[in-house]
Amino acid sequence: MAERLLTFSIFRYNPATPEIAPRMQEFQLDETPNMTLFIALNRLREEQDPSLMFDFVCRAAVCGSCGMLINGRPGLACKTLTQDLPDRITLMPLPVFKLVGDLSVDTGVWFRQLNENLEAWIHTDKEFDPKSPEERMDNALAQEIYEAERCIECGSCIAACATANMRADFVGAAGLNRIARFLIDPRDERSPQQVFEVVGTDEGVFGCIGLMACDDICPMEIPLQQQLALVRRKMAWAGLKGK
Amino acid sequence: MYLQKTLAKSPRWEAGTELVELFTGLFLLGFLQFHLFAVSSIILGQETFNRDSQFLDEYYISYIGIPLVILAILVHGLAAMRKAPWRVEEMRIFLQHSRRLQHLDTWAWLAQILTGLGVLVLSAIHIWSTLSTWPIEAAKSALRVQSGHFSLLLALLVLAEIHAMLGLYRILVKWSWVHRQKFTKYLVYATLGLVALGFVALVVFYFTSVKV
Amino acid sequence: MKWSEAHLTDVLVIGAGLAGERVAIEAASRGHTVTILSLVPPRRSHSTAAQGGMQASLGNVAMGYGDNPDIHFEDTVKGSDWGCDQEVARLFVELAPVAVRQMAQWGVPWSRVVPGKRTLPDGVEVEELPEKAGLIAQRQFGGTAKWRTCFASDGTGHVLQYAMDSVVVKLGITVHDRSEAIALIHDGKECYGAVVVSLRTGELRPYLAKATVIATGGYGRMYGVSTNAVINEGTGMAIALDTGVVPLGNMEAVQFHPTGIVPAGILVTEGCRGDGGYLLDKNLHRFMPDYEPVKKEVASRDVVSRWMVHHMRKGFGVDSPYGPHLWLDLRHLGEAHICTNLREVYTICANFLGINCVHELIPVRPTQHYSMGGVRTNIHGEVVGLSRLYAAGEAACWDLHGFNRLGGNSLAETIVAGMVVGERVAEFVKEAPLTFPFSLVEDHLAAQAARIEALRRRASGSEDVYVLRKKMEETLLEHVGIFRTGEGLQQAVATLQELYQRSQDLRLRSSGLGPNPELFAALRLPGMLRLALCIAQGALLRTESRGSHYREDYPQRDDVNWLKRTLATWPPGASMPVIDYEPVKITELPPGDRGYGTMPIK
Repeated sequence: MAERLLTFSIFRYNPATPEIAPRMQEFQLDETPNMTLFIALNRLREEQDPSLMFDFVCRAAVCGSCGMLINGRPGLACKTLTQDLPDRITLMPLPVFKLVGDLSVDTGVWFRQLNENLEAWIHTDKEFDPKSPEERMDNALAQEIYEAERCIECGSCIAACATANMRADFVGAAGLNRIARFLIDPRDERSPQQVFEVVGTDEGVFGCIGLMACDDICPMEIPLQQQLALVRRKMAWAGLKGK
Repeated sequence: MYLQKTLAKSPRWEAGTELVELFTGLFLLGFLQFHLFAVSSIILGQETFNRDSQFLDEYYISYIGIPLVILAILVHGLAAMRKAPWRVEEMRIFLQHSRRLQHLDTWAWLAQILTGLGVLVLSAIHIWSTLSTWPIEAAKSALRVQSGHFSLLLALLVLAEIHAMLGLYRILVKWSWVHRQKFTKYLVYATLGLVALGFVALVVFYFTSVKV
Repeated sequence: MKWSEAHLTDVLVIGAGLAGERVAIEAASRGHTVTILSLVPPRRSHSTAAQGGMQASLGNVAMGYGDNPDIHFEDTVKGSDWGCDQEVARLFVELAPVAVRQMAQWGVPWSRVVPGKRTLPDGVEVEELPEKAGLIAQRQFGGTAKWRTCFASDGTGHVLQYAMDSVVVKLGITVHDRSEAIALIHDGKECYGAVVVSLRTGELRPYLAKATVIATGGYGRMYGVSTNAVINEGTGMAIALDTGVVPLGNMEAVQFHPTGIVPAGILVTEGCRGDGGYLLDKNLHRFMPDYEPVKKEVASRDVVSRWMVHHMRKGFGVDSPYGPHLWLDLRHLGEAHICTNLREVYTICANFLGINCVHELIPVRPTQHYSMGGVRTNIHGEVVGLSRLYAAGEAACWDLHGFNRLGGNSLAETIVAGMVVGERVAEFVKEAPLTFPFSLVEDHLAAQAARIEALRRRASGSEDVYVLRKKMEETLLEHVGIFRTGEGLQQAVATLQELYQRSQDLRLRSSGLGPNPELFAALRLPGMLRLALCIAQGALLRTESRGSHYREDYPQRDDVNWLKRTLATWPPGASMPVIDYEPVKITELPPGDRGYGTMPIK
């Protein structure tokens, strides 16, 4: 592979210096074999501009910290290889989430709020008995729950969603997938009607207009089209059945 | 909590609106294809066309159907519009978002909104001109096509079919079990086929000789 | 500082991984106000990266029938090379099953037992009994006599963290993410909270609490090439050491995981070998049975890592631009197994190596993975040397792991320790008043403000934080790794001392305003170097080999002189740690043969 000189055009804004307006700044970097955006951005910070803000944690595509717009599309920077990108790479922070600075956005507070709104935890009246063995569960069901639970809350689906971009209160695919996870889990004793009161709305599942950017972009390849359809059917049915 | 929001919040109404949009959409989809096939009977000759038209008239199907369709168009339009970006800021967000993302399904929504608006306007003209020369007869229709309505009807055909098929696609995406990759191409074929059928019917009308 | 900006709470938990959140839940569910500080949103903690599983002696699967806490205890003590506290190990093995089952109730989708016969990769046929159907399934991990590791497909840490955090959300526990505690507020006897810098704004704020808990995980990133997340910089250990009165235990006990991928250093789980994967050399020869006829690839991590490096030194490594490596072979496990129970491995290989591990070999080499050492606590998690301060999880030296941790015991430790320490914290704050000396808080705050101010002013100094840091990483990796010598360690100590002096003279290249990453790196570096010196000095003085600490010049375990725990403290203003020792508590199992890992290595 011929060595390329990559040009990065990166969104810059530091809230501590509001007098400097948001802008795109260009950097150049020589490409190395198997270079990811994790490697590239760290090199830019260490070699060229130590004030450059971005987020990485696991750098192995399991924690969801490094979501950003890579040439316009949301994705995880840590697993994006520069060899898959053109010579010119534009990096912007994810929309919808509050900007912390440069490429860094506040997904943590957003998702915490979402999980509070959705009451995304197991609702049960059962007391935990430390002495008794675990309740049994079919392995196939456990796998099904796990499939939805794989979401890493990176925010890519939210940033890719036109509705979430326009309507601040929309729960997005990550939220609806989370609901799907609890709907199929027998340990959560909420009835579909109770869940309906939470997500059977235009902020919830009926706000989704089915543009499917979430499904196309999910870095974990969660089958979001099917998950969202599942929630929509269950919620419509619960709405029709009434209390 | 906020008083006005708490009092106004009703998942049942919001779910209901979604279902109304869904079912009016399905109804209009059915009507559109029925209408297309009925009109296309002109390809088999004027007599066939007139017999169909009289049949619908005789059993009052037209008198129930047409008002229902008009109502459905209005209700469907209103229900669907509630999601569209009407505020200037929203519109700009949506357009910029679509440009950045370069994602076909997201662009398709813009197409759906624009074709929907187009259908609303053109179908109003179409319904008005048809009703004002009631009853429907092949000769009258042919005359309309030949006296300047050809391009209007062609545009309506294309817009309505695209809108309907995008709508059907959206419904399948939102409600079905099947991944969209599995049905997308069939919907594209169906759209092309239906538009072609309508186009042929229009051409036949255009060349139908009308005795004045 | 305005006093109105001080944050008051009953319990301040620093770190929102599994251990921190479990402590918080225990305290909050007993009615106390809890605040969790975290560098990142809790669900991004490094706990989520644990792929493999959590050990608990449920005895649910065929290869685990008859398992009980006693066997788990024995495995743990042997794994630790008798370096662990046996009272702690006993408490831990008894509570691990409870922890696993409680997590099940909180929503963890544990993989479950499917009855029926199957043949393992090595040809052994096992039958899962119908009466065990639907109970929590278990897989094999290194250094265990029974299959004991509970797992949820390929993402055990992830689902545990999400379930744990869902309870945190349910209880409404306050979480301040993007916050870093950069100093503990203390008077040498009691701890009153911490000085915290916001990673959103770069501003300082005091957090005052009846009890403070350190649960900040490990320091893997000090080694540069590590399986750890980039946030694992030992910040919690560093601020504890900074007090001058709190000892860090066994800092020289550093675990290297046998299978980090080359060159990225990302971990592929021990489950790969537990499920039947092989290690191959450049001749595609499966070499582990030559060294470990009984345990083969599933001896403890220290042992496997050592044999791997040994084998590469003998010239059997595969050459690559990134140095020699070995192969991990999963091909015979089959696509169905790899793509479900090891799917994360599959994805990591695809994303970061561009290979399909169903058909191709994975390049691996031992990589820094875990710190057995940490803030020394007693069995209740109370930090030695400073009251009202607690520690749990990898940041602590509770001392469950001694000189080597077994795979699957770290997830289990975070949760069990969280339960135990949380209970003690809750009991303590019930009686304790929330008091603190005003001037003490102001002094600590002023000291940190002065550090930041000096860095932002850029009036003096000449050293670049990233240059020094890189040098520290290289030094540790080269001389304080898997094979250690007196000479190399001496050199490491000398280099680190020099770097530590230079780190007092940092100068920022950027303004340091707002959430400035260079400023935060500069604030952390001196503390990291102090930790590095504790590791290197402890390793230099320990003239024996035990668990992960292997001295080529002292290749035998020496129970007569070294059956003791290293304690490192850092007196204020000193340039080196003071190293002391305490005896290891042996209550049940006297030192003996581990059954694997012959020493010396020849």
